[in-house]
Amino acid sequence: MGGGADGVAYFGNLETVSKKAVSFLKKQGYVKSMINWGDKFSLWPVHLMTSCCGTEFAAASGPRFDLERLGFLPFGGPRQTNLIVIEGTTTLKMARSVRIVWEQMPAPKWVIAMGACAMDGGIFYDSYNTVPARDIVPVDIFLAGCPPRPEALARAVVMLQESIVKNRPPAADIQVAAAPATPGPKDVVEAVSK
Amino acid sequence: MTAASRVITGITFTTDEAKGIFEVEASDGAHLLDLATRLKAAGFDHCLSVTAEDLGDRLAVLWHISSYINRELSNMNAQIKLIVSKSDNVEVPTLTGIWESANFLERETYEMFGVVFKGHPDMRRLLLPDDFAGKWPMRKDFPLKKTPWRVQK
Repeated sequence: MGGGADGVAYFGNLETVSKKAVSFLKKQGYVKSMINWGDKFSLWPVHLMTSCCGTEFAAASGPRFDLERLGFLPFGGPRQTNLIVIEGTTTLKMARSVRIVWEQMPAPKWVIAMGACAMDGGIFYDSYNTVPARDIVPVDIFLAGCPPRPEALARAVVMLQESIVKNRPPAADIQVAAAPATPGPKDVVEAVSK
Repeated sequence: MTAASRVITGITFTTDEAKGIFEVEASDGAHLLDLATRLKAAGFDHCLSVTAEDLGDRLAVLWHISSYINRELSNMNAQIKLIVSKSDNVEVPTLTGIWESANFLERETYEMFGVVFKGHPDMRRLLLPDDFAGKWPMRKDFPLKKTPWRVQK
């Protein structure tokens, strides 16, 4: 086999070499930008409605605001999605489900915390039974409003697309790298409820 | 019958003019069951809500009842009140045997205020997770997690 543009010569087993070459190519600007372009227009959110912001989410997906023109296609199962929009307040029970869904999603994955409740509790601030979104999963974008208009959700999606194009890693990658042993849903909820 | 009170089968309800609630207070558990049986016979056929009130060193357990069948009684929401001293597990008799719809409502009062309804068929938590940390979140001595918001005065 020949030599790579990174100054590394690829020798040996064809399979190993091709894997190395693919991983090299993925880091190259032009291939990476193509992958980013693909991610940018296929932000598929998992349909997990935790609270009343879900109505605005539904309106945003509907024909009037039509976020599908940005590649925003709500999807049923978490295995086919790469974006989770936490719609409003999450209770202790729902926090567990959100964490499980987030862990089922394939990487790269992004999180939008939608509404005042997901940011810092909102009207349920200091409640015995709610968890802010940042304590459940790593959040990329906090979206203010109570509830945010569908235009605001569209803006959040566009901001997320911009950050993908600028090659910023998802918050999931940063925080998981910092703390390799990610706590399970039970630990998260216990830490919060104390 | 005056504006301030109302008598149904010998039971005198006092009225809170501002709230429009007819209230009768039970002295103890046996009196409560007696009252409830008589009110059921008078035409109050369902329980609207069960809740409790934290009065500091005491707890007030409240049952709200009304009627579907009796046209006159269906206009009023009556409240039965039982005041007990506050402890970790307050025991009061259940009214599930008289009004079946009190079942879930009493379970919710149990998980929120720690009121154990004696004789209830299924005295478990209703909505909170099974491993919920801490006790009785709606009581005033429940510890809060965060500092209060600072408001500019």
